[in-house]
Amino acid sequence: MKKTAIAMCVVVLLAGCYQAHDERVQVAPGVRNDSLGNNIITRPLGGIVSFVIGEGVVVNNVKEARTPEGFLEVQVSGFNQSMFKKRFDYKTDWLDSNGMLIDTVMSKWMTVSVTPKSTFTFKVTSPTADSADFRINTRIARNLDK
Amino acid sequence: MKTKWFTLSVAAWAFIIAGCTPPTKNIDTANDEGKAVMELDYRDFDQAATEMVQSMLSSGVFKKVDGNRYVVTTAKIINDTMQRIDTDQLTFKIEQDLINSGQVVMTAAVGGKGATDQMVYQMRDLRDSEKSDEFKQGTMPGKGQIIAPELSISGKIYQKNIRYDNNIQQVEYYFQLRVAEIASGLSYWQKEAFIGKRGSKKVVPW
Repeated sequence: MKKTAIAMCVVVLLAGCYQAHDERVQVAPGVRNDSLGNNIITRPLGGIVSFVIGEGVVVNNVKEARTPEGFLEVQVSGFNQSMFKKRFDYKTDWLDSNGMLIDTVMSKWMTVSVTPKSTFTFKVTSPTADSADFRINTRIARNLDK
Repeated sequence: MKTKWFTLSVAAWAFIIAGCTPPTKNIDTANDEGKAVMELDYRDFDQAATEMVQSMLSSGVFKKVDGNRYVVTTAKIINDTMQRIDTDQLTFKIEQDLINSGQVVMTAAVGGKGATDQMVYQMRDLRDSEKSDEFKQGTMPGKGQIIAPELSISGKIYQKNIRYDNNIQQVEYYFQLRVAEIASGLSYWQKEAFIGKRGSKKVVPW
């Protein structure tokens, strides 16, 4: 009986006072209230699991729109599922209506840094109004300070 | 015998030293994963130019009410860094994409460093000289033909060195550009791109 009571207390303590909030606001682990699955004890374990199963960045949404001048704007949104900061470079290749590559200085590697369990969004604008399609490539970002 | 051994050892050392010299390689500019450097390198200029052009084009600053294209010039870009930078490294890329965007026409007749194409004025000097007779007159540039720029791009690149800790220094580079209408002096667009680096205090960033 005593053991059960202690266990219950531990569970309540670990669970903390976490309350669900507006999904548009991402409150990072360690910033928000602890929960049963995310607290000072389970967080390091979560980190190990996240590392072992290789969690990373997922792209949830790609939006396209034309500016009044006719430039194609692409917005990429996603989520870092990992328990670790993820940093990557992206490069956009722009294609015209014939599928031919458009030569531009804007096709360069740009860096995105995403905190653990957080969303990210980046936007790219086409170099010409003739741009009809795009390809975005990514790679792991190096040469960045910790 | 001694001379022979000496010659052999010198040759062996020369061979070893030559073997240790890193071979020269071309940079894979499409996928350069080389180490970062404390000074500004081409990757930094590429990044700054990309940010600037993207912002300019998406802002709609070059959309002219009458549907025509603006005539644009690049005014002075001040190099306020400790490095000897040709600011054309930044502006040339930007101008290139602005022209290719079809939104503007860049003028080569005026600029922050004078005419970007001296031939515009050399031909006029020739026209007014006695050598003018050597040219077919209809092919010579007439007076009152040069189109004045309506918008001007100006800016500054500046550097700030900060002691991060005893062994590390932080070097901050700020790229600031603005687009102003020459007739009214009004600024229509401006942006700052930032590039920061941390590294050994022993490396001198100039």
